[in-house]
Order: sequence, then structure tokens, then C-alpha cells
Amino acid sequence: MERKELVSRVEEIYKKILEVDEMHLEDSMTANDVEGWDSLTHSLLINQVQKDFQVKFKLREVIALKNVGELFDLIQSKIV
Amino acid sequence: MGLDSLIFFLAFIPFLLLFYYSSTMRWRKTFILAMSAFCLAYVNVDYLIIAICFALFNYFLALSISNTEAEHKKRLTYLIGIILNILGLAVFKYADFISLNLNELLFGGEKRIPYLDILLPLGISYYTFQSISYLFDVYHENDDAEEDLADFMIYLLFFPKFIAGPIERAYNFLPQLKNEEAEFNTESFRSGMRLFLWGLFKKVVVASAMWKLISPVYADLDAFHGISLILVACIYPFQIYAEFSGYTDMALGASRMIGINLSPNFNAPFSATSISEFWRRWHISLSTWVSDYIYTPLSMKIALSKDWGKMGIVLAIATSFIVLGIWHGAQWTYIFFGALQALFISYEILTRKRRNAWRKACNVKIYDRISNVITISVYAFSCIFFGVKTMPEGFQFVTQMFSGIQSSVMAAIQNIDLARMHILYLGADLIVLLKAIGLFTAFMMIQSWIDKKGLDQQLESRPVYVRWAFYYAAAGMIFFHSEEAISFLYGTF
Repeated sequence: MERKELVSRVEEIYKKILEVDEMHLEDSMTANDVEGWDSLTHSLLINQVQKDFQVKFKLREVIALKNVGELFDLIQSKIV
Repeated sequence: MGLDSLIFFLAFIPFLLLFYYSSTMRWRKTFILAMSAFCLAYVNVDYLIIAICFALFNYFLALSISNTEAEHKKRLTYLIGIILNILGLAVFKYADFISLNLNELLFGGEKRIPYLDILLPLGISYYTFQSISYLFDVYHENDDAEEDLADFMIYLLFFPKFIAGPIERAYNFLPQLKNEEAEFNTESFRSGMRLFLWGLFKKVVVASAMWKLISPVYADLDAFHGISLILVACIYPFQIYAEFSGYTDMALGASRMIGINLSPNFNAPFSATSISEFWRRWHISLSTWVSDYIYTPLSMKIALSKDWGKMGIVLAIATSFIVLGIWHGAQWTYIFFGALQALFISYEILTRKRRNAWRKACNVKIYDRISNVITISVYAFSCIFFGVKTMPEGFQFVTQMFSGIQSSVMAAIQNIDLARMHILYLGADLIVLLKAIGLFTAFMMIQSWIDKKGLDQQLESRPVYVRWAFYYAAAGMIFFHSEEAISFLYGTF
């Protein structure tokens, strides 16, 4: 899958879970940069990403994520 | 020993001199370790031995995790480490509580399961949590295991934070010990002294005066009703705040004097507009620990394997806060205190959308102000169970609080002396009351002034006479109140 397409699908998930109309994600972004993305919504986001992309993450992989870019990489590594 | 004890001061001054005149970091670290061992051994040598055993175990285990290549072996070692740390804490802290409850439940109170009856080792709740987070980070985050045993010992035994935290993370603390070039820094010494002085003032002067005001109520609950108890319930969280933030500032200050920065534990908690926000500002090193090492893995585990949506989050919140509650001690009241926090936060999660809509529809300032008052009241209510020893006492407190309101108001209207007794509940001494009110007001005003810019910046932007007036006033009050110091609750956890 093209990175651009992947990013836009993840942005759709963020919009749905965080209940916002606009979402623009960049690789370096963290929870501090996105309003409403906190420890409470984080698990809902990961759950939705898994369902949407039909992938399975391991706990260790998810805990080690440092920013959105690493999430994109993780999804990419699972769907290839 | 406590950072506010005379023996600590007597040992700290020569320690500082040796520290500053040491030419190498290696010598400085030796003195830190010696001072840490002395502070602990002075209370009880057994406590020192137990702490060293925990430290050695975790040091070697983390190295083994780090050096093992095979994933299943790595995982097994990690799990053994986590289980043994929890087991160690459970044996020392919770064994008799479990025996007591099993005896009650299964054998009608008969002592069939024996009690260990061992003393709770000082600081154990703090250093086991630090060890668990360290092993977690080495395994999950692939952090390097510490190779220098002395540095790792300092991480767990460091005297300023040993008794009451903050619960430090290895990745924040250990790199600070690696700076071989560290020079004597007048700035950080001065800043540390100031913070220590302010912390000592809060603990010895403010918290003691407030405790003197409310302790008669806890000592004789039967004698108090209505507004008296409501007032005590309202004052208690602020008393804990003065005491615990005071001690934390002393720990941060003492540590800063020797160039080591510890994590903050408080950030204007009483400005929070929700209980979730309150816990991001109150005992931060514990709440973030619980969030990172219990809530996140658990909520993730649920999210990765189940489709429970918000209910999965609620379950993870409930588990995390019950652990946070019981961390304080083997009492049902602490578990209930934790469960109440979970209940409030779950409510906030489930109603977030609706509450956001209300906030937008109302005047935001008024909405936030009301939310702030509700947050403080709700937290104060939960603290009733934090302050008593048993659940029946907690329920008695709550029942009497609501049952006697009318009679206490009537008494107040009829007789001014009774008003003082019943409404202000301090029949004993009006001076105690006025002193506590005065000190509490001064403390909250100065603290909010400090919270705006930080103590250093606030003081340095003032003329020299204001600075010195602050130092003299604080030191003078501490001197005159040194006899009244009370035992420290968080030092018993």
C-alpha cells in the first residue's frame, strides 16, 4: 500500500475516534500534538487501526511506539 | 530517617562538604551511597539489607534480560523478575492482610492461617515499583540494563527519595550519574536550598498546624457531627497536600543541591476541573507509573484482543486505580479510595461527549469554576476513606457528617460558644484555629504564586530584601515549630 493512502486511512480512523472533522497527521507527531488523543482514546485508536487494516499487533510493538510515523511503519510492516 | 529529622541535618552537612570537595564523580557517588546506606541503617539495619537484596536481584536480572538473545528466554526472565518483585512486596506488605481476610472469610475469624507479623521495610513500596518499571523498560522498550552496580544501587537507595519518592524512572535518573565532568554548581545549590526550605516550612509549620486542627476529630469520631465533619473532610486533602508536597519539595531540594534533578510530584492539583486532570497533577510520579505500567499495557492488551470499546478502558481504569489505592497500604479503606477514583474517572470517560457539549453551551469560565469546585469536593469525599483506618469508621464519618447538620446549625444560632464547638468544631482552642487558617491561606497564596513561574524565578525577580524576608520568615517559623512536627503519612507506605 502507498504510504499516502495508509496515512489518509489512519487519519480517517483518528477523525472517527476523536470525533473531529479535520485531521492531518505527520510522522513526528505525538499524543501531545493532537487534541483529544490521550491515554484513554489511544487504546480505542489502536483497536480501530487493527480492525480497519485487518492486522494484529503485539503488546510490545504498540508500547514501543514513539510517534505517528512509527505507527505508520508498524502498520506497513504488517500488511506487506 | 526523615529529611526533617535533626540527625539527618547533622549527617547532611558533613556529607555536603565531602561531596563538594571530592575531585571525581566516583568519590561523589561513593559518598551518596554511603549517606543513603547510613540514612537507612540508622532506622534499622535489616531494612538496609532487604533493600540491598532487592537491588542486587534486579540488577542481575535486568542484565540477564538485556544479554539474552532468545525471545522466549528473555520473556521468561522478565516475567520471573516482575512476579518475584510483586511477591516480595506482597509478603512484606500484604501477607497479614490477606491472612486476616481469608481467616475472616473461611474460618469465621479463627486464626487458622498464620500471620507473619513482620515489620514493613521502609521504602519498599517505592523501590519495588521503581524496580518493576526498570525491568519493564529494559524488556519492552529495549532500554540498556545498567552495568554499573553502584549507580544502580544509588537509583534504588538514593536517600532524598528513599522514604517517600518521587518514584523515579531509571531513564531519567541514571544518566545524571554519568556526567563525569559535573562541577559544583552554585545555581542548583541555591535553588535546592530554597526548595528545601519551602518544603520544610510546608511540612513542619503548615501541615502540622492543620493536622492539629483536625486530628481531635480522627481521634474521637463519636464526638463530632454535621458541619464539623464536613469542614474536616474539606480541610484534610489540603493538609495532605501541605505535608506531602512539602516533603517532596525537600526531597527535590536536597537532591538538587548535589546536582541531581528528581521528577515533580505535584502541579497545582487543586486547579483541576476533573478527577482525571486531578490525577495528572497529584502524586504525579505514582499516577504516571500506574498509567504507564498498569493502565497502558492492560488497556492495550484488551484493545488488541477484544472488542470491548469503552468498557475495556473502564476495566483497565478500575484495575489501575485499585492497584494505586492498595499501593498505599494493606487496608480496605485504601482499596475503596482507589475504587472511588476509578468510578469518578469512568463517569468522566463515559460522559465526556455530553460534558463537552455542556461546556460549549455555557459560559466556559463559569463551567470550569463549577467543575473545579465539584472536583475538589468529590476528591475530598474520597479522602474520608483515606484518613480512617477501617471501612466502618469511614461509613460512620459519612453518616454523622450528614446526620448532624441541622443540630449543629441550631446550636450555633443559640450559643456562640457552641457555634465555635460545633461549627468550627474546635472547642479546645481558638488560637489553633486562627493559626491554621492564617498559615493555610498564606501557604495556598504563596504556592499558587510559585506554581505560576517557579520558586527561583519568582524570588529572583524580587528585590533582595523581599527574598531575604522570605528566607528569614520561613526559617524562623520552622525554628519555632520544630517541636510540633508530626509523623509523616507517606513515609509509612
